[in-house]
Amino acid sequence: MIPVRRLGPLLLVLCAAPAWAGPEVEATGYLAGRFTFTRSRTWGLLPTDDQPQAQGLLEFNTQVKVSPRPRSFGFSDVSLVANRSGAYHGWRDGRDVALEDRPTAAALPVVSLNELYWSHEFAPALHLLVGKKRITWGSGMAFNPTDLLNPRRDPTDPTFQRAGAWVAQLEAPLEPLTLTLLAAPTLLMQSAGIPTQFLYWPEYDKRDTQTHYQLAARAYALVAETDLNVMAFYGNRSVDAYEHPWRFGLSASRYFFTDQELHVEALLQQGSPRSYVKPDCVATLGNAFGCAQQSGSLYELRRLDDEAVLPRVLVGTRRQFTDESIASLEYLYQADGWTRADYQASADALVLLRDARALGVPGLPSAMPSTQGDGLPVRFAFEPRGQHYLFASYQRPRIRDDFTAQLVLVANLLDLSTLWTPSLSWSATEWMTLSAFAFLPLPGPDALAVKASDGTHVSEYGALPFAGRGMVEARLFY
Amino acid sequence: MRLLPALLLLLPLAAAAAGPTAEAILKAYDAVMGPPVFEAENELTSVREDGSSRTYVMRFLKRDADKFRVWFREPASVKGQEILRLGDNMWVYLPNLKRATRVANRESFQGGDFNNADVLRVNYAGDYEGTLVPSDVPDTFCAKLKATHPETAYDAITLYVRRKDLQPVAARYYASSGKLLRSAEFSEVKTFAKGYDRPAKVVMRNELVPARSSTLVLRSLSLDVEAPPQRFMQTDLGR
Repeated sequence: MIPVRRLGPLLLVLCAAPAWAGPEVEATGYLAGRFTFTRSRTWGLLPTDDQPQAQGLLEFNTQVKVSPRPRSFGFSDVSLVANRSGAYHGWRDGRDVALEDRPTAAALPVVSLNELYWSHEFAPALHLLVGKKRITWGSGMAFNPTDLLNPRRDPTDPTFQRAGAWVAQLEAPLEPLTLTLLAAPTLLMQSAGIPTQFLYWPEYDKRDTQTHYQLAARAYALVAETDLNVMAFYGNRSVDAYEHPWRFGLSASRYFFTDQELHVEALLQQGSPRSYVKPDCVATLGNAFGCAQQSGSLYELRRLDDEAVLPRVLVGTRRQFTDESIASLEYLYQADGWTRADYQASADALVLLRDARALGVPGLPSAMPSTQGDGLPVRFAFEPRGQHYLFASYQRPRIRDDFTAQLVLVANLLDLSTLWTPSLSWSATEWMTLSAFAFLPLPGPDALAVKASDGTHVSEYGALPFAGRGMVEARLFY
Repeated sequence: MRLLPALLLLLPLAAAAAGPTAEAILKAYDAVMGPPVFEAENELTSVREDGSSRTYVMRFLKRDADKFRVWFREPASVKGQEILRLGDNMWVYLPNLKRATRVANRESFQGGDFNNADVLRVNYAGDYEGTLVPSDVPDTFCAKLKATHPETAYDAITLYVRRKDLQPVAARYYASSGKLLRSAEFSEVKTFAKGYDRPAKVVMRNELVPARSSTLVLRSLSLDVEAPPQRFMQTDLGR
């Protein structure tokens, strides 16, 4: 996301696109207005001071395709987002208090450059694509373990995140096999939507001396009515801290018995870029200060140099019923995911940080480092830290023709905490959709939660910084 | 290549002169409704129970009996969506999802009364075996079709074609229980290319909900088009 004050040069480029277009220009997009009310869990372990309870958002999205020649085209997908936020609440002296409105990250207007690329077909069997594009090879719906390029999806609505990564891709569709080579230099700095620094941190802001990139090769084939993808990744500190150069991916998807789809997606990696809480650092407040002063963090990349193969595997199925309703079930296993001991250390850290905030003690890191990249403002930021997750959804379209009801469930199978997302959409006209969503996090049974040092039972979704969230949206297409 | 559809039409016409077989009627239907290669622009209007309607405009590209590609152009809410059929496999590309997803053959086409397979799977000669029966509609032949494999959209079809040129006139589509699901009327036969005539309008009625219907109108059709095999690969979706 880019501060709106830096929009000038980007808008100039986008507005100029139709001018140099030539014969064929197609434009589409939407205007979306969204109001969200969040009940902050001020009494919980995570800070809520920077989380607005009321948020209005206006998004103007435009998608332009320019085709000056039959085998070449450029495409841009840009969203301008204006925010209005307020009703901040926090926990002070043992009670919920209203805080002053202020320009937090959630309140700043932004532009999200979702995609901007040029595609040229040298021959039907050889294509080149350069620019920013969301490329996903895996077959998972709610989550893609093999997606090492893009901002993460919101599993409660996988269509919501459209932002991609900067890539150069050469693809050879050789029937029935498609071969793809891809290079993605990591974007480290940008200004007004224009990338200014790839690969290395500049001298004036030298955060490390490493090269940040991702290379990938993919072979796709339709074999025995099955979509098969085999992937190889070679990279360094791209979307995460991974430094072992090689990772391998596999995905497959097939329909059985006409209406039953099955899919699997797996990432094989040696070691893991995942962050873990250092248990020693959260034993006492003094230890925490020591760790913060030494390394600036209570977390460590404990398994980065691990020799063990630590796969991440998603298995799922989808069934379409005769009334066109769709049920989907996916299970995610992460060998490098947090164990109960890791959740215990995390709960201890959250209690310690909460107590430090209450005492007004400065100098401690406030929260877990996020691996979420740029892109559109997300309704729910999904960070799968545990070992076992379940995603279930049921969608019933065409209720009285124009209504679609959906229920999405995300569950951590270790502590059985859940996030429920019911929604109802109404396609009022061919150009307008009205939607209402709710997000309800529920803790699992106390017996499965970890018990923090103050006796609090802590589970993943029970510890989210909100008790509930409701959202209404109007989307007008043009 | 351009003469092929005309030649395919001549074969059943010749057969018709001597009284066609059911197999000839199926081949004639496939030749009329799904020539080997074509590109077309269609308008699909769905009328719902409350009398309101929704209209979609889409571009079709077809190659061989089982390769079909659709690009949606209107309305704005579905612009950019694509569908690919390759053999028994179908995918849909959703612009917001930025990826292709597999779909089943039995799903309705854009929520209307056409089934995906009605629009994207014109291969009656491969999917059904037919029996010629006496027709109850004047100036038509009637064939009763039975599905030969479970991947078809319907278990049985009754197909009526004109005696003079085997152009389709009407069809009735049945479930395995024998229940009538849908019925179609084919009309406005036009010449879209030299030697190639076909109905420009197909009205599909939902027999389970009589107030519902969908109309597919062919705005244009060209037989002289480029359709490289790469256009019918899953990896081409969204390009």
